[in-house]
Amino acid sequence: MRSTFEQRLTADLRALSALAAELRAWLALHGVDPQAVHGIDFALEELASNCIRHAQLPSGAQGWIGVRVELTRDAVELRLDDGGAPFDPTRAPAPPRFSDLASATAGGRGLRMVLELTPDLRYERVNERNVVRVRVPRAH
Amino acid sequence: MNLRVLEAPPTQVHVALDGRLDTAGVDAIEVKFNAAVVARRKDAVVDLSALEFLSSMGVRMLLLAAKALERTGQRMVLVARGPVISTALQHSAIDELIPVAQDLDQARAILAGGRP
Repeated sequence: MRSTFEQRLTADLRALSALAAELRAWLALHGVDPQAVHGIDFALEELASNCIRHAQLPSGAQGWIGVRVELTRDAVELRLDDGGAPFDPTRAPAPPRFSDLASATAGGRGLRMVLELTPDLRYERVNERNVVRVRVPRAH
Repeated sequence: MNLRVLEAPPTQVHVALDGRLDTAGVDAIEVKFNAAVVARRKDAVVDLSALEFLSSMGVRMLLLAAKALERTGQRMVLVARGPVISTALQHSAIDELIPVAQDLDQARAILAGGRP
């Protein structure tokens, strides 16, 4: 049995917060394991907010992020697509290792955290859009 | 996103965060958090036990506050229980820089024991 959640997200952090709440409710309604819900929720937050802040999305009708979540018997798959400049999150440079508090830099941790929490993440460039797919087991 | 200032010894400040420390949550709470934690120039215990979600922006807020405290000679200790927040702290590696306690007593002991 397949079931699908699909929306267009405007490039706005408040809209992301509202969409994420709607998605969490939808996943819970479909009986998805809380750990899987958190994995998808975390990937959406980090990948979409990174895109909104840094991707320089086109203005107007093309300035949106496609959000699609598909449930299969065994997995939950999140698909995000955007029309920003080509960006492969799996090839983003790793943040520097911390050595001490004084020299620690705060940025650049989000993508690494996503790859640690949801390692089944794939990227492709399709029709001038970045497409990222994140797959997590439906139950742990 | 909520912040509560808890009773603490005179040389310390204790705050507890609950809700979602995602990008929107950081936007909502960061000014209040810095006023409660950084501006007082005291050692700080930040209780994340009731936090539901910790994003990289939340990690950034905690790290910047800990750096600001260190510049004036104070320290921050986090309190975290449960896998969601503990895992986020580990994946961000912030737990290599800021001590993480299991409860308030352990956090106070870390502050009483000097630098870990």
